[in-house]
Amino acid sequence: MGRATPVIPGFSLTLGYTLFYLSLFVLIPLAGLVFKTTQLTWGEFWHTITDPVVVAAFRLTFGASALAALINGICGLMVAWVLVREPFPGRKLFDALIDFPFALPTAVAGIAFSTLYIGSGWIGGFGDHLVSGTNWVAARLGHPDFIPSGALSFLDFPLSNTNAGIVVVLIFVGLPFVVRTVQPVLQEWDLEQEQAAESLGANGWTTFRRVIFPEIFPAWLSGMTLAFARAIGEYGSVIFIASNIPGKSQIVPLQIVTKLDEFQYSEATAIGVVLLFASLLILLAINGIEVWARRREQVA
Amino acid sequence: MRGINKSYGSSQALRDVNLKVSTGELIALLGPSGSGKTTLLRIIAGIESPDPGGRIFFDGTDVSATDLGKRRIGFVFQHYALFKHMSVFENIAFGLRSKPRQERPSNAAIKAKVEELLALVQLQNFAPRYPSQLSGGQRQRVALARALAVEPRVLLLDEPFGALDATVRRELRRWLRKLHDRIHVTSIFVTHDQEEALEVADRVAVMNAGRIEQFAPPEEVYERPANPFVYGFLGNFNLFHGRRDGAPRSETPSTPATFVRPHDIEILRDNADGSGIAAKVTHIGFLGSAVNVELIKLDDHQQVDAALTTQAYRDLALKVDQEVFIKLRNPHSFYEDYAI
Repeated sequence: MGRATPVIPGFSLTLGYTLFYLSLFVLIPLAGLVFKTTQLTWGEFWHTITDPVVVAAFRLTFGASALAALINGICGLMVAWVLVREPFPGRKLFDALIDFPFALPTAVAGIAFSTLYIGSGWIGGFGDHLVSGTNWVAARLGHPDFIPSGALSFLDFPLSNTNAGIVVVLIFVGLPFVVRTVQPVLQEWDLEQEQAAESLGANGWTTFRRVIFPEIFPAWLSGMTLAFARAIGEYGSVIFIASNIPGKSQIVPLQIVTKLDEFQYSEATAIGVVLLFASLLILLAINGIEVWARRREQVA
Repeated sequence: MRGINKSYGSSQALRDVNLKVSTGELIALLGPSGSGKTTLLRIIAGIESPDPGGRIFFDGTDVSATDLGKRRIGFVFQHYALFKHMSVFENIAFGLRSKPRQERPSNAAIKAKVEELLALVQLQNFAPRYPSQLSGGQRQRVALARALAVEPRVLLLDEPFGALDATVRRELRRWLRKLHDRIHVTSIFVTHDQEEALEVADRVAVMNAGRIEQFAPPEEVYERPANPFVYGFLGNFNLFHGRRDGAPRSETPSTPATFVRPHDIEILRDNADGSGIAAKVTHIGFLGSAVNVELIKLDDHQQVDAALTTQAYRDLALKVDQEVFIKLRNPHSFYEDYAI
């Protein structure tokens, strides 16, 4: 960027606008959060955030979010790859479907998932439904029960009211991030690089690991980071599928809402502040890795 | 390597191409864009596969069904296709590190090999750099070293100098020739620049519309072109329709077309032996090392381009509108069923 001829005129105006905008929508609300928290003494603050119930909630939120982000990282990469590299009928439709979790109110998603995954739901009771369906067809054909009931119960996935259910909905809300960050990189990808690797005797896996993956790594990592950050703040869908037992299956945002319901505003903001700073540290760390990864190829 | 022999069925890209390259040769595939030369190269490499029936042999063994990775070829891409996130060292070492575990050389052996290659391409001090820090010519040399690291049986280069500016290009192609004289790996390179092909290659395959028109050493391609296309592609020319004066009368009923290079047009001030053709000078273009003279034949007003050495031009003391006589040296006649 030449300093002599800026692309956008009025540098001071645009900078001022940017700072104002950031302050209005990000810095001032966050400062308010911190300010409210300072109404607590150190003792009260410490007591609030080391409450075993709160600590368990932190552990659950960060653990489930990290797991969901990781699964999204692996599966999202595959989805992006297939959407870019493998032409199949209906590809455009699937491509459009990827953005669906962005648009759907997450509470709706939460209800849909918990209904599917309860013991009698389509997926939650998949094995049992399969048995009863088969036996119904058998009965129509004049046979007695074809499969004994309960024989396929291992195909049941009653994930509602379990922490696995939380991970499932977090995967749903974070799905588009990895796909949408990796996709453009794969689209720009130069096939000659692969051909070059192959001509040098590298097999498919080596080519992916040493040639393709390092190129998409920064984008992939930022996609996972976004999915992770999104999952930490997710509230609407999780409360419908989690059993929400304090100390076992309550996520941090729910803890905050609980405190608010009890008119403990400062305690609520204290938890919020810890969540904020923990997320900030994690995001900074991941950003650091990304910068390092990008710099290796762009030391000009 | 005994030879490559491949035919390519009904496809438009390549039509019944047969090519036999001897071990250690440096071959140029020369042709205009769309003549199928890059396709042929990619088929030899195994990046693309020929139509059923096409066969490729390395050293007498049929490799048509062998994968790109197992053919042991070195391929240098037009835009180098270097791995951007790897240093020059790692780029060159890639092929060695990608070998199956039991064949993979030790780290020390890899280091020694890469250093040897870096010395070969004269980039000893560039090992820790990244491709983005190199100039085009340097990148090209890294790509070459990377391809050579796996000790290929054949080295294939796709427009190796295409993306470089003229000076670097000229320098690099002499360097490639010298390199080839040292390491003697069988090499095939694609180019659309006739000068490049003639200067560098042992033999040149001139391609047009999916066919090899002529496959011969540079001198022969230039001096004894197989047909008007080859003649026309290798340099400027004058075309004379109808029978030349003094040419032996042909048995064939069709009229021959006669091709003469501008530098083979001799300009004389007088018609001493009576075999000259009367012409008038219409334009003189001074280039420094040579002088381009445009003339018009007085009998049929056809334009003729002549190229004189500066010395010859001075001796003649030509002027515009002057009437002179021209003689054709080294003319080539082809029959007109060869449309150009």
